[in-house]
Amino acid sequence: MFNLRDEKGIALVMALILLAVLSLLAVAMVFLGRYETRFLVKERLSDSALYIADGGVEFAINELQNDLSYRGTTSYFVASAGEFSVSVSTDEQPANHYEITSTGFVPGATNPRETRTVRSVVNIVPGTPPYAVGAKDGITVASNITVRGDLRSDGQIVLGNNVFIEPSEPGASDGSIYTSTGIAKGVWITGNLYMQPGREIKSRGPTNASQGGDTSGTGIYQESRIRSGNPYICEGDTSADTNPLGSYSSVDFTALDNMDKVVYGSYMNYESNETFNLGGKVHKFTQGVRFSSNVTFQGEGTIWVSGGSGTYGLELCSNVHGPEIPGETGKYYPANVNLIVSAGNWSGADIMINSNVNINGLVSGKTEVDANSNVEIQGVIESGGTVNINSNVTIQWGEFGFEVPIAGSPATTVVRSWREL
Amino acid sequence: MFRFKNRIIKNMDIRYRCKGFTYIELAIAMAIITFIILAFAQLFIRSSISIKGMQFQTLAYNFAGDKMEEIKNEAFEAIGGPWFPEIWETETQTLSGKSFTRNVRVDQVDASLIRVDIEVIWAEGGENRTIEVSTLIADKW
Repeated sequence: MFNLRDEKGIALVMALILLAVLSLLAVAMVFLGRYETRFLVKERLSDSALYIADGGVEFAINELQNDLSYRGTTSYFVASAGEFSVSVSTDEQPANHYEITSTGFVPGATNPRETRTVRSVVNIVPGTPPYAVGAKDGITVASNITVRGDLRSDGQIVLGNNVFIEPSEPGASDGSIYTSTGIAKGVWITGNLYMQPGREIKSRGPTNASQGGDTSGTGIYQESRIRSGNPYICEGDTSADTNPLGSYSSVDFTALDNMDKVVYGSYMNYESNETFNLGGKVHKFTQGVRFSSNVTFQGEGTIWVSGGSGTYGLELCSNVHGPEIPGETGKYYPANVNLIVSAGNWSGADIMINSNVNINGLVSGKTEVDANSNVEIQGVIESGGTVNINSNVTIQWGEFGFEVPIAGSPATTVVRSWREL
Repeated sequence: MFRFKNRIIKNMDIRYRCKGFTYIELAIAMAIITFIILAFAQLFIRSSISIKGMQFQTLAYNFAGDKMEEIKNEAFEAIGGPWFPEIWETETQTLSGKSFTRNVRVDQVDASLIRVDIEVIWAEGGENRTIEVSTLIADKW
């Protein structure tokens, strides 16, 4: 009969079982450690494949900048590190947008150890300056302003209250502030400033470290008023981001003059409630022009003031817009018009945009551009002198409603999105 | 009497068997234990070397990756000669007690496209080990 009290030999059996369990644990630990480190190395190789894939996107951007009909490369070796294949598509994309899909292989597409694929949408905009607001001598922004794109100046940038600087589209690479001036308060934040994560404010002015903190002697003053986005602050910057642009008049006037145009030899004053037919032409006013309130711009074109004297070279009074949206009484399309002043002697501003103005185009002045209240601009504001923006103004960087010949930079490239598949 | 004698012999046998191990048994047991210990020791040593090596490799990749991110955030104009195969930038750092040397080479593929190769070299087991990461960077308008 089996007796529980008979324990003869149990110690040996127990010891063997314990030894086996401990051995198994030891082996498991060793293999787990090795697996973990192998996994880490695999992850690093995977990072390497990601750099290769990203290199494919950069390669495609470079090719597209040279030739917009470029549609891909099957195989390209990036030194001995890896290989990528890249394709470009415009299907289901807005105009001038290119979807780039790139796959990186390490060490090569044949028997890869790691593969990563990324997709990026890139906007290559022909004939658009690389800023939403740009001015040589300075930019003053008052309150409740939204700028979707970069602010750039060779002078001082003063920001008022509730200023929102955002990318031109969600995920786009712009939405930063740059000044090349080396003066103190090169960027002066006087009220609440809201930015997006990953953006930057760069100035060539003195650093906080050299001035003993964020004092009025620093290049970017009152950083504590930045309410969101935690932008990268760089004073004493020497990078190309703050290289002086020199000219903030991006128009090629010779080419502009050669476009289909209508010339007006005297100062023109368009009365209220008029419709101005742009007709796809350049309207060259040699002595200045004023558009009174409730003016509708029909079609698309450019208003160009090439000389004259008075208060304003080009004045838009209130309620200036494009045609009414069918079926929506009181709602209007933006006017597809560029406003350009290249010369003249004006006691006020070259270009004065008053209230309730909605335009899609380039606003380019020689010495001063002012935008008052409730102004919406889809395009760019630039000035060879200053830009002053008052209240409730939104500037959205983007393509112009009518072609403008641009000197210098033939196009601007903005990375709209980047994600891994 | 006969029955009593048998019992004594039987008891004596039992006592004799429980006395301990023979030298042969001991030798076999020792051999088995030594074999097991040696096997485990070898496994541990090999794993330790392998894990250490992989840790160094991971550190090397991180060292290279940090620089790559830094370069990708630079303005295009700021990345430049002396061109490949010359070393553009070199740096040595000690990580986890091991000295790593990072060499950055930049090659101009064309006027607006550059290739960045970052190699990290370290000594391990009397030999130089190397990893390399590369990418392309375009000059965007």
